Amino acid sequence: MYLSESELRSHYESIFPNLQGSQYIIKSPLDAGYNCIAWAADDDNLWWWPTDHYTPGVYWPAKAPRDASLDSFVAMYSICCEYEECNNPDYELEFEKIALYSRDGKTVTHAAKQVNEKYWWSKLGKGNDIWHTLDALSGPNEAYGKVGKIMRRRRRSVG
Amino acid sequence: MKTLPAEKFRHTSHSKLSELLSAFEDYDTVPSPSDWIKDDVPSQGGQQPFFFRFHLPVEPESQGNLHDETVEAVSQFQCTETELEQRFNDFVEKWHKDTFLEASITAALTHPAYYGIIGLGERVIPLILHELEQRPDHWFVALTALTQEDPSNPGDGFDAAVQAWLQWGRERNLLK
Repeated sequence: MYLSESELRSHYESIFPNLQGSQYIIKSPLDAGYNCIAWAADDDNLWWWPTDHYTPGVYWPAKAPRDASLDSFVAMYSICCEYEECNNPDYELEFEKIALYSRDGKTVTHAAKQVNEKYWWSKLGKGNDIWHTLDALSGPNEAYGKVGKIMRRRRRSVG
Repeated sequence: MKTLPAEKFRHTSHSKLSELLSAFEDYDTVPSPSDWIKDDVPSQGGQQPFFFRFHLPVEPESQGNLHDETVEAVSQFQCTETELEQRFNDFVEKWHKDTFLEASITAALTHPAYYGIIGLGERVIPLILHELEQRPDHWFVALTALTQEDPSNPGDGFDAAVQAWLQWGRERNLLK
């Protein structure tokens, strides 16, 4: 799809109705080289997803379970990035947080990482990075469902 | 019960697929066409025909009826470059539209439009390379399926894999 920013915004808002009027910010150009799962792990040069076979351009940590369940992704982020599950998405200065979304409560559809008190940072598929509120990507149909897990790790440096 | 005379279809490179399909309907022991495994076919005489080759998977109990090895049935579609490019572009746009916001690479690489592009055969390799150059995306699996090659290296990032395939295309004059 070759779309202008306004066309992209219209497309995003048609898929994610909660984005409308939510003051989300587009932060990067389109890029099919990495996805939300990678971005939550601070990688912008590989597409992270569990596959059965070697797939060029796609990465999955070797010791992580190779399926798309929430539990397996929790294990993966624990193995790769030292995140651990937590109960609240509130901003805490001493912790970095990520959110995993699911439509059915079992299978991961999306991941986002927290920026500050207001925004979370998502890579939208092959599209842009955006800053958005946590529930802005929630919803039925092609939206990402709802937040199923929150994870956190101690921030390595503050300020 | 009528069984498939395998030899009849081993050298049918100029048959039309519709004729082949209707011929198969006369036999009782041929697997459903939906169960066939599609493969590519080498170029002939410098031409790049628009081929479909189907391997009929032979079940152990049916081997005696069919053949002592996989039966091949080959058919050929001919279409113009313009028609091919139109089909390719239609599949590409459908694929982008349906998978643009997907995190799952599995969903993208198993989308019917992606299979459709692979099914267009080796003539689309230059079109895929051009698309990869203009709008980098996960074309590596399709290119490997069509060429039986993989110039990227394990551990390459996305950008390195893209560059490896573009270099592969330039070396073969497949990329203008």
